[in-house]
Amino acid sequence: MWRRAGRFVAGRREATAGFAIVLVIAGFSWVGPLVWRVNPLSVSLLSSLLPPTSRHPFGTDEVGRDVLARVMSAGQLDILAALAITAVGGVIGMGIGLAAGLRGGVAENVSMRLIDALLAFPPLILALAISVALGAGTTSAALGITISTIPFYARLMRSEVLRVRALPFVEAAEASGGRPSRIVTRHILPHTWRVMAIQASSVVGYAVLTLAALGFVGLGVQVPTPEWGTMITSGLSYVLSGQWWIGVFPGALLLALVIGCNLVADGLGGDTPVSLLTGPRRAPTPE
Amino acid sequence: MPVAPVSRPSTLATGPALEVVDLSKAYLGARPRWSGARPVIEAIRGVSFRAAPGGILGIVGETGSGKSTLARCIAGLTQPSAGRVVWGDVTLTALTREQWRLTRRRLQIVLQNPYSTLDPRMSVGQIVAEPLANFEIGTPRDRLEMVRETLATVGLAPSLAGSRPAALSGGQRQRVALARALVLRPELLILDEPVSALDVSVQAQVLNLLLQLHRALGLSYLVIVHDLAVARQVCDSLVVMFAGAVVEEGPADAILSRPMHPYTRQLVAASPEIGKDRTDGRAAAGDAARPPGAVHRPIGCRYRPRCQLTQGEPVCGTVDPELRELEPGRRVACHLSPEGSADG
Repeated sequence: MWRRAGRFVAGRREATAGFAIVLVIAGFSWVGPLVWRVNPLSVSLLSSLLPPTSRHPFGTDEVGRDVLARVMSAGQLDILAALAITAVGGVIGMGIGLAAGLRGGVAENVSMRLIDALLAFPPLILALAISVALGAGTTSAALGITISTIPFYARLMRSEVLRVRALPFVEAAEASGGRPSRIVTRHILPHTWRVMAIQASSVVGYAVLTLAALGFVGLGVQVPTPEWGTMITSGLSYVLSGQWWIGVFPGALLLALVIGCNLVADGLGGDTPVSLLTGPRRAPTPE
Repeated sequence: MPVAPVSRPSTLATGPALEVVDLSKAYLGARPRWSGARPVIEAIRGVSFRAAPGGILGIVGETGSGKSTLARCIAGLTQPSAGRVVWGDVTLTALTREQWRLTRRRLQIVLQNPYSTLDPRMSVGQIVAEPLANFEIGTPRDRLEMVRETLATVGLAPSLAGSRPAALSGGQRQRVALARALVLRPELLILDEPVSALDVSVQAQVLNLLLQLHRALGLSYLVIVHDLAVARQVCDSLVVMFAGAVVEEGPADAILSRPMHPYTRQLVAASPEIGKDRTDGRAAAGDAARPPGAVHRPIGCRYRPRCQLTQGEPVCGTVDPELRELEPGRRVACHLSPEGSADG
């Protein structure tokens, strides 16, 4: 078993490295608070803006909250939200793409034109617009990001279904008396998983980044709940006066997580043609 | 109660006869660049023949003559545009999707090219067991046993059941494809170019296997071939197609030893054979090796542009010849064969 695992890793160094980064950050976010038992919300104005010391390894922010505790708690929120966004958007998007690819005709045309309409907006702008319309908050931000990811999945899924459906072994399955539902689940879907997994892992990175971006502009997670994006915003105003630690630590973790996700996505691609790997355009990093 | 088809004794009680009546399939071509309607491409037109139960009927013809389209129409994978296929008391062309699915238990097709018709993600055992699962035959344990038995029937080691198609040779893959079709114990097996994707040395093995199975299982074959040497080896009757229509039909020996239609003559002459002078075959095949366009077909006989018999008889240029019975059991679509009797 270890031998097989070793061979698996050897063939996918990039993906494994990316996965390791993600695992380390997740471990830091969930295991960390068990060791570092400090309330991320407890305010202490006497100890505000302290630089990193052994009492506060990541320093404290403008109202004296411990940055390390906040970064860890924010990690939990960001990772969970990103996974939820990826999963929900994936199920909806793949469902639409599958239906369009299998049905064809009017249903395909209508759904794909709607997807085109969503794609007409840059994803970040779309997510921004939806969460503005729904009102600031974690849920509406997550919903907006979820909707903005649907087109990525739907387009890719449709083209994958069209590709696989035309392969001769699908016809052979029909000739052996397979029911249409069985042909879809046994012969078509399994051949789309790989590409969809690549897409999903790049969406995780996109979701974290966009959630942070929305938090950064004040639309996503609201204060005082810790979230990397909002922490970067609040840290921004102190960078010039020398209190760099408030924004840099969450920024570094965000950067590492996104890089990890993208490494997984690229690494899983491996021998897959480049054209299949074009994921969502990466949203600009908050300055 | 689940029925175990493998245990059915091979009593050589063969299935019903297959009758193809006036079958046509037309495709719409690409829209012309500037204007006009999409051209109609007739892959097959007005094909009729009868396949006797228990026999091996070969459909021969060159690339593009419509052999595969014909096979796909008979197997229900392509909807013909006109005509019908009757198999015993079932009109196959009138079946609904689900009725067709249920009919596939008795009528199987082995598609061309075993390199692409096996799902690369599945193991050999899963591939061969799939038809059984589709028809809910037996318990998973029974199926395992049937798969082993069928693999042995087609000459594969049952231990190969765990392998993926990628690990197999071409001949082994074709045997897997064959096992997948045979595991249901069909009455009619359509084979689309069963050996053309294989090495010549493997071709002979697979052909022998097909003949053995035919004797042992008592089923009917409909074989699509382009290689007359293969047709000679396995078929007992032949349908010769040219440009989507039947030009000659009859017992295989008679056609191959005494071809009547000028196209069949050319085919036979071009087919290499030990001890035969090579030059006449080459010369005959060399003349106009291009099939007439399926879109712009000549008026009259479709074979006229390549025909060596015609001396410009008006009938050849105006009337599409119908199949005429020139000898008992032999039908030919030519105004001129046998030579001289141009009685359209």
